Amino acid sequence: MNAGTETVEKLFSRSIQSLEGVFDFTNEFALIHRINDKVRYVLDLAVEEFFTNMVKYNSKGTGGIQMRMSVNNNEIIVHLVDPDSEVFDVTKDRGIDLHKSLAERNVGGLGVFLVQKLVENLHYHHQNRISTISFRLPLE
Amino acid sequence: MFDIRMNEHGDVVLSGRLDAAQTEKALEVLNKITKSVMVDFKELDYISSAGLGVLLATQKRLSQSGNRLKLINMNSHIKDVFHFARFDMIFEIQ
Repeated sequence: MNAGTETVEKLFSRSIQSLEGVFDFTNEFALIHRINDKVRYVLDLAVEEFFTNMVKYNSKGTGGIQMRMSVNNNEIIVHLVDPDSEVFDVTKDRGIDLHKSLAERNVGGLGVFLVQKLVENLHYHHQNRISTISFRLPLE
Repeated sequence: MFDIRMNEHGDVVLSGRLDAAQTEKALEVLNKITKSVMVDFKELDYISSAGLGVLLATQKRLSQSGNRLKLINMNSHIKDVFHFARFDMIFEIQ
């Protein structure tokens, strides 16, 4: 893995247990690019929420989930690709009501909602059963 | 690596990273709690919505008997997540 704008990519099996490897991947990337703790937290949170969504809501999909990362113009650019999925547009409003009482609150959709608030240029593309999520994070 | 344990004062101590792969481990301890306790986040580096979910489920269960979790020693990143999720409205955070 080299610094600069070179894209690094890795394929992960469709399992929650793959998260450890996903975080090893982001950790190595963060060390090379000297990403600060605050940005690193958001990077891990965004990747986890999207990766686990792909696993939980598409457990019967075939093939692994590919992750690509690069740095360009002081931004981290991340792509997550599911090669076999129905449409699940992560840019849509999750309808989260943050003002419900404790008894009424649940966490369904909360992860995607949080990431929508924390990342920039969140995009979703679906074609020929291939879902691609991409987002950017400023390095500072 | 995530760990959860009870300390000598009866507080719950979290450490490491509470992600979606660690929720069962967290619930094994949290499901045994029946009274109000403090949850110490001092050694916890990271929490995702999956982790928020196990805390929320525990808070809901305890509230039915008039009990609750009190969360202490969060780092600033985790505090931000609680704030964005408005979980600072349903947990007492010190």
